[in-house]
Amino acid sequence: MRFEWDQLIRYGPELLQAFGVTIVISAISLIIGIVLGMIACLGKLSGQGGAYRLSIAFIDFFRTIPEVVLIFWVYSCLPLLLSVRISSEACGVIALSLFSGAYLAEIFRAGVLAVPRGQVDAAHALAIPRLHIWRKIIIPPAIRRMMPAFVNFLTELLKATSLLSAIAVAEMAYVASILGAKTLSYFEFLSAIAVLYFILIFPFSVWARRSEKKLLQRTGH
Amino acid sequence: MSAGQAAENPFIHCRGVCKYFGNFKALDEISIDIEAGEIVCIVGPSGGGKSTLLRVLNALEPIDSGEIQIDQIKLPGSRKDVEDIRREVGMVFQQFNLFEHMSIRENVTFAPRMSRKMSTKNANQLAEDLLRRVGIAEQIAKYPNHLSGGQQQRVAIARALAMQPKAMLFDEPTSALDPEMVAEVLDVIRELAESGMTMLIVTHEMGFAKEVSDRMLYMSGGRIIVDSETREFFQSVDNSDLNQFLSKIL
Repeated sequence: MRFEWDQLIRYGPELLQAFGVTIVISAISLIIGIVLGMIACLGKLSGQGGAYRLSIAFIDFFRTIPEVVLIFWVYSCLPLLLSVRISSEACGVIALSLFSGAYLAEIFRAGVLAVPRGQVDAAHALAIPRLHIWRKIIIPPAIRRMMPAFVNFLTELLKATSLLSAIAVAEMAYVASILGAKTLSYFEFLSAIAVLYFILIFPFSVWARRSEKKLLQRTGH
Repeated sequence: MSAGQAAENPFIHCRGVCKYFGNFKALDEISIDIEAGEIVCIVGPSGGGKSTLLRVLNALEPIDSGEIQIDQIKLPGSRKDVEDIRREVGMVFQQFNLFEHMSIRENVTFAPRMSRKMSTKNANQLAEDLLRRVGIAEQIAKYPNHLSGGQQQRVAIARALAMQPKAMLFDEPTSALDPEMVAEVLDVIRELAESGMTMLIVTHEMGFAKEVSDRMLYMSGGRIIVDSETREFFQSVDNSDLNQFLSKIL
């Protein structure tokens, strides 16, 4: 069997465009996910009341249902429920944002809880206003502590975008399978996107490992 | 009658203060008055409520019943009342609790800048003065984890003093220190005592307590069992519980 480079070169621009779609969808989902995650994290940290119960429900629900089910549900059911048309890209972003929000909420919460309680007590004892306690005492060390888990999640999110091929979002996995079917060069296109995913994700996984090592050195445990 | 109870406006005033952790009664009807300038050491077995008493005085733990009044401000109170009390009352913790991601200078200047709205320039000057006073001016640019325990605790004292409090609460300030570092921290506290600062000190250092305090409290089971002048406390208080405790620790 011969590896058909010319097919790859011929459809290269389409693959690269799909690569771009993967990145853009990941980025938008990540940003919305960070916002949702922060809100849910604060809600869960509040420890009581409506916001707390809502946050727990959100986190538990979207961490438990399989991503594919969530994607199909948003694609097939949400438009019916709201009686609006939603593009498959938008559905993909909605599903992945919800997924990200739920996971990131727990990652953020773990980071906040890892900040030694005594430092927060000390800040309270110094009459420092609550907002400054969050900005200067809790968030900076929390970010450092959550970094490995956060970057790890980023790799999961990038991989999860390939699931959007199920609802015909023109990201890498979908475009590769379409091009494969069209040219019958599955081998070339699927290999190509495997390499592209690796190139995209591997730096993050190295980063995650490094940040974990650095954290271990700093905190000593 | 215990020392100071007759005065009309004690600096710290507690009446019937109770604090529960779940079903555990950490403070059981605590009533006490402390005069401005008085130095009170609190001793007793662990779990007896000593730390909790300090923590409720600084509103780090809300009380379940009773009343606290510090410099005419009442607890429980509004958020502003709580912050006002904390501005008046500095606290030093067993585990230092320095802000790990800030330099020593930032640790000391943070509160005056954020809470007293002091300019950075004045706060820096204040930090230098205070760090010189506690004997570690040369460490100002370092980070907490580069300092020994004794040095960290002295920074923590400087940090609390930077708020220019009227009273200081010390929660076992030397218990987490290696033995050779205890003296340097006690020296700083002793110097503060001589300056006339109102202080409550939870400690296991009996010799130190005997030397600096005007008054001793013995707490156990969430209650103040003995409250007496220091000399009397070590000589003539007849309480089997206390005598047993003292014989174990002395």
